[in-house]
Amino acid sequence: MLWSVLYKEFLELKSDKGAIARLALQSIVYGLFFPTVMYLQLVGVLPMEIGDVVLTEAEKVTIVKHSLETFGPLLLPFFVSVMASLLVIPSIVQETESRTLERLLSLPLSWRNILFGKFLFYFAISLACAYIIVSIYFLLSSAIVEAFQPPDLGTYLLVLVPAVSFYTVSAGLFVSARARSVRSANVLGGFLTVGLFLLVFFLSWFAGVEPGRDIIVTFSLVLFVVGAKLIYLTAKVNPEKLLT
Amino acid sequence: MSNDMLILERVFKNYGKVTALSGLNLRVKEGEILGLVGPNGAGKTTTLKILSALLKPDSGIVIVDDIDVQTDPFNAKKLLGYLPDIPLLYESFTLFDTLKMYARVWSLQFDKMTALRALDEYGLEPLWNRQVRTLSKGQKQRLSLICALLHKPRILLLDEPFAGLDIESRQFIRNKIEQLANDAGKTIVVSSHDLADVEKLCTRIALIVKGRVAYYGTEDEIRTKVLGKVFKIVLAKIPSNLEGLTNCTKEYSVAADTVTFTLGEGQSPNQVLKYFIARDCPIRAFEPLGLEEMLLEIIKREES
Repeated sequence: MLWSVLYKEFLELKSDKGAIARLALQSIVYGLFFPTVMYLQLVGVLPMEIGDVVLTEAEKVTIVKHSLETFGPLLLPFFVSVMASLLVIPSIVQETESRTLERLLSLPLSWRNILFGKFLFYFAISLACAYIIVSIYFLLSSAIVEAFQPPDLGTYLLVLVPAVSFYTVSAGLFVSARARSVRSANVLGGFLTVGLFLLVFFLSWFAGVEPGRDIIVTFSLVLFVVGAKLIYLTAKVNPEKLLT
Repeated sequence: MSNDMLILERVFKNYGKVTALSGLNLRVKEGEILGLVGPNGAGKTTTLKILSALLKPDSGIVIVDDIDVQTDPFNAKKLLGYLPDIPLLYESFTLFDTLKMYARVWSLQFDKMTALRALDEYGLEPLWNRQVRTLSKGQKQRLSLICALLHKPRILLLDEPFAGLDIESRQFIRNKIEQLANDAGKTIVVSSHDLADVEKLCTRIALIVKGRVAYYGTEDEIRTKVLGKVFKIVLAKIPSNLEGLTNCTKEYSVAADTVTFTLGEGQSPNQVLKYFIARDCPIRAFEPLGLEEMLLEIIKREES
């Protein structure tokens, strides 16, 4: 039954002409964004100095290298979350508004089948987008600066990226199942997902946090636990409340 | 074993403080087309949604072909085809993809030929690769009916199947429903506001008022049971004096050019016809009270 929901979601994505291309393109742009800005600063197209400060070439390289190794990896979860939230937040509330959920529930599909089918589908798509973003980022960064030393790459790719996608998809579905309209889902969902990662980014930047292994693992663990709780709470929603 | 395909017994359902069903009892026999009629908010759609396991009753028994819907909704749904009041299709899907999705849910063997055959039966075959959003309302309703029938259910629950359809689509859907009951032996429950269609289609009628079945039976049975023998006669001109009409009727009322009358024990409509002919009143129409007028009368009585 889970597969039929996955298949339905796939058909929906497929039927939206150009959606897959748009997703891939958007992911590529997010992956390119920060390394490109850094590169343009390094070659002098964009200014790096503030006020009267004059930087030597070596200092510029050091700043760019440090930014790509710490600042960028702190920013990437925000981009990953943007992609996932764009997809997942409308997914249930849209079906509630158009009443197609009613039709699905009249078939031999339970609310949990529908929810977990949607979760798996959006988690997979979000992960695919996330890996496009981070792969481009790390590949480009290592091409821009010599001896580029990203944070613990294994932990980053195998723990943090799935954790961010997991949390965003869970929180998106949680909000989507409770919202009365797509607009209100976007407002609250945006805050709980993209907004949260933006806040975390600024806080860690101001606090001078280095994305080391321990911090990545702890933060990811929190995201997994909260995400699991949110999806559990969503599964408990009485589907009758979703029938308008 | 009874041949009741659908049984609802003492079913109660509230939406917060609003009572939708208040002890509804209903039985539908195999192969029967039952019309659910009643005013808005009477509980018709709630009844269909409870039967199709979309809603859980607060209390009561709901049985579909010996399966308890509340304890085994999965198997009950296999026997049911549900047609909602509006098509509820994925607008961006093609017709073929729509059927493929339903086939996947029902684990049916499905290929392009099967899809084209199903669509052809409903006059949609040339549109198989078009998006649902490009279809007219009538075409969407036909597609929705194909989806409801794809797994060959024994029971069909149709919520307002004629709402907003043009004459042609309406007739098409009505013929299909008749065909499904007569040729395929399906048990069908139709909720409709369109009493003309209910009259033509249904073998029995259940009139729902305030969340319970107020009357159940054939149109004639309900009329006789509730109103007695009621007829209306349309005259070219109403005589100024209707003296003596009470001798051949139990009671009568006059509105514009129509006299509505109820016959008492041993009285016959022929006597009334003779009464007006004797007074030289040209008769334009003479018929039993229509379903719509009868139901309006019943609803008025029930609600008061």
